[in-house]
Amino acid sequence: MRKQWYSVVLYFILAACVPSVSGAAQGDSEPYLIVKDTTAQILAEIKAAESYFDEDPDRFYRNIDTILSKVTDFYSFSRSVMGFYASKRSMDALDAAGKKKLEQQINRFVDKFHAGLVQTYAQGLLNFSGQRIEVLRPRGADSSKSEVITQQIYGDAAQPYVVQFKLRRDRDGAWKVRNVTIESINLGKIFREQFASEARKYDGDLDQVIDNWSSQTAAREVEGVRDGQE
Amino acid sequence: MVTTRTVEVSVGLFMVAAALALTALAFRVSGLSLDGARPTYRLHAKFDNVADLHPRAKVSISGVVVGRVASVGLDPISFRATVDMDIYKDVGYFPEDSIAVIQTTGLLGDKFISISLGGAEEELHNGGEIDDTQSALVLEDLIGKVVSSLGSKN
Repeated sequence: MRKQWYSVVLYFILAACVPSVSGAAQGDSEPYLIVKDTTAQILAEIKAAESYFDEDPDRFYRNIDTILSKVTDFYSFSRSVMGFYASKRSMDALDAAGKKKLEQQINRFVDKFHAGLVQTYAQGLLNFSGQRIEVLRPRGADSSKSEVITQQIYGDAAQPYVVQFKLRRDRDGAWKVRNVTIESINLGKIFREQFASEARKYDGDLDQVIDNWSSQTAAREVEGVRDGQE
Repeated sequence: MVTTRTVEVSVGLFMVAAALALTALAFRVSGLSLDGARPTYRLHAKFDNVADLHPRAKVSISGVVVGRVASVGLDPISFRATVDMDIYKDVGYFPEDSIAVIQTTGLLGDKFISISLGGAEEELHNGGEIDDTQSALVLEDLIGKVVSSLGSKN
């Protein structure tokens, strides 16, 4: 009797699992769909912005922010940019008051970095003159935890710009963008180096680094590479 | 009679010393060391292009050697290069958002992996994967890009 009860439960669990498993096997991977979908949304927003941008540019930034926030793990991205300064090792070396202060600094930097990145990205989008953007199908899942999705942006140059999005499952299991590589330049790494050098400049005073943070420096570096190709 | 014997023995000793010196030199140059006793843990990473990275290549942080490349292979599904690294345990564990970059010593020197430490709370332990990587900069590609940009500007 007891055995039957188990098998009924097991049957329901299996029945619940099978459709989702087969669906995932047939269709495209979730990270691919997320990047593809987001790309379409952004392209639509650029098109829509043509009519309202001159009167209300903030609306464009707000809308881009909404689209990006849904699919980007800004908290982890920012912490990764802070690098060693936000790591467990630095955290463990502090006392309770220091830990609290560092946590506040991390949160403050997350907000600043988020705003700066969206602003820079949106400004970049405005220069995009409506050519084709293709999202490449991944050649097979990298691992169950992370995946790289490649986007090709066709501009005026003969070769498309290659942008790679690194997605990773966040704490709730949802796929989120964690880092971006533009033309083989790892943006997260450049921001990290910028943060580290600023921290050295201000003698480890993170508050000053955060107050004076600007995403433009790294963006200029990427732009320099892009210009070199044109 | 005795003097020839002494000469023969000393020449023999000299040859043995020379052979030992040569072996020591070979070990030094190839980076093969006998510090196998230093305990390590294993990390994996995938790259788009490893450009001539060899097993036993250095893994470094801020230029200090913290481990060695154990093997280089190819992922059968995604055709990306897979690299296994042995990291010395006494260096400690890295945050999971650390970035592995393939770099070159000098302009045309050996390839090695440099690790840029991240800030995540979770750490990578034995068997973990560094999923954020930056591939080797291929000099030929770079020259090609410069040449094509010069060509388009003229």
